[in-house]
Amino acid sequence: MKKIKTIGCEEALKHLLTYLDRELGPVKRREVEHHIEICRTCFSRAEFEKLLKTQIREAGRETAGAEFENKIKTLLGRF
Amino acid sequence: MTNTFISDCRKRAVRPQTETFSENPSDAETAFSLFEELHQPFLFGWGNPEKEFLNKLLREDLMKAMDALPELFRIVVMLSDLEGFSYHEMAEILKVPVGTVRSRLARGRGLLQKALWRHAKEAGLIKESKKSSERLYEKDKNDRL
Repeated sequence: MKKIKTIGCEEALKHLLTYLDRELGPVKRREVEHHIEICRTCFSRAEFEKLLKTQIREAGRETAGAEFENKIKTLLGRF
Repeated sequence: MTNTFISDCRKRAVRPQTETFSENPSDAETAFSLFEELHQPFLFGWGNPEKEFLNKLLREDLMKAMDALPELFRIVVMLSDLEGFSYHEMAEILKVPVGTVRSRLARGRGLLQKALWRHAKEAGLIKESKKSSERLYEKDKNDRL
């Protein structure tokens, strides 16, 4: 198995949101995961961003379904 | 249901866009991080101000901040974080390259965090920014020297 490259905080943070969106390629994903495992601050940052993302999703779900869908459709209609 | 929604979105996404906001990812809004404002590493597990902050936020606070985002950025944050679309799907819906989706998402999230921070300060959820308290400490230290 190929050795995982050790990356620094700056590089990890650059890719963190893409990582949380599950949009990173396998190599970069492993590098970010490895960094999060060894860096306490970046681990906390990842947990925070994850929690915020969950709260946003839950807030959206609690908003009346049809009303929310209309909101998105109206927005898309303007593009 | 999802397919109907996507095709409906695609039909609506044909109008050319008028962008008034810069999409430069180096903008201060993109760089803004709530975590960096709140995190206090010296607490060593004795407290977690960033999680406490999120616990204090109400659904209304989040949706209000979301509604206040410029449309260009609001739509990608909504499609990604609320609807769970992938970057590729959003690019198809909005008829823009994946790189544009990525940069708008980064900018939108930065703006959203900045709006939440501003709201929290106005609502008294936070007394003082960590950064401003650090600045005060530095000033105090310099005054004494």
